[in-house]
Amino acid sequence: MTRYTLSRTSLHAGVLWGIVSIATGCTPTASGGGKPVTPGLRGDTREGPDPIGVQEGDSVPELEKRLERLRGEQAARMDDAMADTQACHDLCSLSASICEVQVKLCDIADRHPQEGSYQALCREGQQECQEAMSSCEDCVGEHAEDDAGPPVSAPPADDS
Amino acid sequence: MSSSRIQRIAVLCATLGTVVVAACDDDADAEGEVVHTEVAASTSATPDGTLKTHEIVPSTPSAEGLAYLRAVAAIQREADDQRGAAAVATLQRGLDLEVPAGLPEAEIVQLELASRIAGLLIESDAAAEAKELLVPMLEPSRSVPLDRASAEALIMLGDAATRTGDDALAAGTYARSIRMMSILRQELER
Repeated sequence: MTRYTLSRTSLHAGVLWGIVSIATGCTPTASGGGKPVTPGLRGDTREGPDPIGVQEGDSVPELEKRLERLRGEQAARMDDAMADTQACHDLCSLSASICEVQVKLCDIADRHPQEGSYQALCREGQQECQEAMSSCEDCVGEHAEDDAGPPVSAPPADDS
Repeated sequence: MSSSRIQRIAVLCATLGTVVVAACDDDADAEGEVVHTEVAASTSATPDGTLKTHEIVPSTPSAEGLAYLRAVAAIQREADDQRGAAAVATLQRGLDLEVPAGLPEAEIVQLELASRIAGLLIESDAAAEAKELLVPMLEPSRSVPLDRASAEALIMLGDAATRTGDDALAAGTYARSIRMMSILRQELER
């Protein structure tokens, strides 16, 4: 008795699932199952555009020539990257020094709260520190966009 | 002239002498006050952040110039293995070397030597000596080379001035070093 009831329930469930599937259009093809999907083509499995560029050939002299060219390009890119890294390093090192000295300067200014000249120098130092820090961060950011990771770290922010 | 009269004259002279000496003492006290006022004035003076700079144009290499730079490099290396007074003496030898004509880079080399000496002096609680060494080289009225070495020397002078309680000199010198480094930073950004 129980077995009969269960089979009947299963039958009802199957029929109900079929109706829902048809109504929502939820077919296996639409959900992406079964067929391969080319990345970037949103399920469009048609062939992409033809390769761009010049056929460089596969013979040994041609491959050697290509290897030589790639080596040159890599060296040039490395040089550029190293120059950028050094420039950023120098910039950030200067920024760190500016902010360090600004802290010392403002510590002295704190001992002379009534003297405008000390306060003015402290404010100027704070402004220079902020500008220097942002230029360091910009340099590191630009470099990080070009490369995988940042070459140097920005100096710590000063809250004073 | 009677002896009592002579005695009176002698007493008068002695009194006069005492007054003069006392007056001299007063003068001495007054001078002391002036000195004290000057010290007070120097600590409460306005900081001078004036910065005059000049660029060092690389010179044409000469045998004398090269020999000088090599000698300084050797002295720097020698000082690397020394400490305290010995290192100061060695570096001072470098500072005393005669600079050949037509070597503008020597100004930077000398600032580097002076900074290093000043750093060692500050470490050994001789900040006043460090200040004495650096002040003539870095006076606000004097143009300094636009170089990181000048900025370092200015920072060192600021530290020495701070240690000796000369806040005006310290603040002015720190401000000048910040200005110097800002110029260098802007040049790097170009």
